[in-house]
Amino acid sequence: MTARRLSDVVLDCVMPYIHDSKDRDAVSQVCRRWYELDSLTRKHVTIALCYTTTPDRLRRRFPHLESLKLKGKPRAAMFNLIPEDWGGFVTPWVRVISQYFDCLKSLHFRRMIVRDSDLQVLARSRGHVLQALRLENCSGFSTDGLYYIGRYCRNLRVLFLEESSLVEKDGDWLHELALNNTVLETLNFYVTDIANVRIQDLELIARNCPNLNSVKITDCEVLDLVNFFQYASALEEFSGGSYNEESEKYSAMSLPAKLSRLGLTYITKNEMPIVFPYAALLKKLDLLYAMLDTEDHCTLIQRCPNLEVLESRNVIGDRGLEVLARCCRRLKRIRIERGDDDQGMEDEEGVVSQRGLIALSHGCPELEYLAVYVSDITNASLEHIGTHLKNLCDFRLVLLDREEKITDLPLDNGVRALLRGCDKLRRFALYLRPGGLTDVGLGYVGQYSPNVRWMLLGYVGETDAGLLEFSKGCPSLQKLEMRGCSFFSEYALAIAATQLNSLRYLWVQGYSASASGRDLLAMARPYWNIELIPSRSVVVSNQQEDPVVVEHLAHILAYYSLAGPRTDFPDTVIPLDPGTYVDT
Amino acid sequence: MAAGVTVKSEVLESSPPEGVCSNTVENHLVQTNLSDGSPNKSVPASGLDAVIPSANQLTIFYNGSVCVYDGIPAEKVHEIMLIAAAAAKSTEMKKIGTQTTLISPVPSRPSSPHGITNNIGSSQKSSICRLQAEFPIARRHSLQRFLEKRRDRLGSKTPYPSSSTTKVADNIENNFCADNAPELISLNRSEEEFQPTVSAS
Repeated sequence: MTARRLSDVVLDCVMPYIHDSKDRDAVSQVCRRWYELDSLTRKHVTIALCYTTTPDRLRRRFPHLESLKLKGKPRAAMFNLIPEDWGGFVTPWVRVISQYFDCLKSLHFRRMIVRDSDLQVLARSRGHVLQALRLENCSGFSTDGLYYIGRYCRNLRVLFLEESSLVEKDGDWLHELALNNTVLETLNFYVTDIANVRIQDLELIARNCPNLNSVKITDCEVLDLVNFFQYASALEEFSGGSYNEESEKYSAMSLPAKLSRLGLTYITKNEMPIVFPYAALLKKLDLLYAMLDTEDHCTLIQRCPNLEVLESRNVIGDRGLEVLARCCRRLKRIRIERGDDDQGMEDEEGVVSQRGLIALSHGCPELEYLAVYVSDITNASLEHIGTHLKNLCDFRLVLLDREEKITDLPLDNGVRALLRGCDKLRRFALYLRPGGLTDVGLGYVGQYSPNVRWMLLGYVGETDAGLLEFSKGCPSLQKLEMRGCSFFSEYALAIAATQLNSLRYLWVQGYSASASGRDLLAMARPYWNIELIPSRSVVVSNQQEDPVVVEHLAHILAYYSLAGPRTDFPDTVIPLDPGTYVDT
Repeated sequence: MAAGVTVKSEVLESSPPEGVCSNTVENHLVQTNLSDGSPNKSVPASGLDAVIPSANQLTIFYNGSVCVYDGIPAEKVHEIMLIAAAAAKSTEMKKIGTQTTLISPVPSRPSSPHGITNNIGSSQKSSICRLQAEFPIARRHSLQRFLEKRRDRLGSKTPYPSSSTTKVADNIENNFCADNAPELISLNRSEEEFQPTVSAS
């Protein structure tokens, strides 16, 4: 009895210091007592897919949560590939949060559907304790809902709305936030459609909130922000703004002295010099939405020797990456997105290829995250990455389809070298084209990815045999996304899903669908939900503004869920009933 | 101006005259359609007007000269642009070489790089359209919206004068003042070259 009580006391002291979610999971499985202690002391939970459990289960399992992160729609929704009404509603979660989670301070919804009424309920019931609210890439709400947040959440330190599709009614929400808040640290409505921003409200926030250190806004005229910048003396991060006046007017501008993270939206060559006095201090530079050509990129980057994070489009070109490799040796994260397909204006040199990748692998040995769209690629460049980038945790490569001839395909040997060399890799994405990776190469991916948990594969492999060989490996793989898999049968996909021991989530688009879809049922098992999104036609505007009808091929979505099949799916989603499997 | 004459003759000498003129004219058609606002200089073409009611005015910029044609249907212009794109690609290296040897590069510089750029874009456009029908590589929603806004922004800026536009205008004025006779010759030649295409259809 004494020994037992002593061990409880010791454990009570130790448990609060265990933060890693995997450590927590392991601890909770030791015995009933440890399970209970974990329940009482768990402060943060991330639920990677909101349909894997229920709000009630969460409440009973972790009653004293302080921080919760929920994700809804598949990642493909960020690329307009998932129906808007697919699901991911926050309403049932908000209902339970408002009634039971007394300790909750931080709430993060990602790719979910939020209603104004949800925000109202949340603000009224939890407003006094809520310190951080993140609605990232969410949709369904408007500034009416934000009004309640601004009015009731006086202790909010973080308001994060980045990339959310919200409807703007007016600017009252920001005014209300400005009137009521004195502790705001992060204000972010970057890449939203919010346009009615009153500069006075921004200034008031800057004056009233001495700890304001990160502000990311839409494209307000930068010249109107002079006073705001003066008041926000603690600012470390700023993104947004636009430059509509004559270039000379911007030369007199002063930015806050502590600025080290900068996102330049709509800036051109003419206004770029305003950054030069601060360039040497910059740790992060976001040029995704800048209007700079390759030469401009080179000019700016060589002034930023302390850069750790860079985001841009492929307009940076191989030449820009070479400058980066020469000048920014502390770089840890780089993301090069796909820019305009019509080469023109400032994108004319916008080609990234093996040349840039080799330069990066030699010049930036501390890289941890490398995501890039390339126009050309070689095995040798991947080998260089495997040889030199020993800290790489996250590698994502997309081979664009513009160029017909690629220097060096297939990439089997390069991929093998990369995976063997980068033994810290946790996330891996490889999106090629038919012939880009053979069945042998796909086998290598399975064989040499011992720690990878998330994978995106596009147009890799040749036959079912390659897929099955792949699925013999990847012991840690939890989430698999695949695209362009017309050479894999439904049956092989189903078998692969069962062979991947750690798999808990699968998304596939562009597979070789059988007439009935019943071959997918080979992956049926307890607690495994299977959903089918049939093919559909979507009208999109392409670069030339004439609408194009794009056929979205069928999707499979399958995932483990303690909650069983969901009931809120729209007409665009067909659940495959495992019961049919039993009957057969 | 001696320099102007030299430029022209060198261009002509680089390959058969007909081919050169045809390619050059077709190259600049692409630019013409991309630029807004054109000098209001009309060449009579009443016959075409009568035959093709929906026709529009076509302006060609060539080596500082401006040629205006009435009665060109939109789909015909589109075909011309496609031909120009294909022709430009095959003559790209030749043009670059020619440009290097020019004694006075100033008159050519504003148009030549743009021509190359736009034509490359045009050829890529067709391949993208084809691939898009199959299975497009998706672009992030946020980046897609930015590219659309950027296009709107650049479009809305076009009507307003900027320094580069002013320079181009200056070049045009200089050429008008300096070379009346060659201009007329060029005008006539372009018109003659253009007629067969219309007749063929």
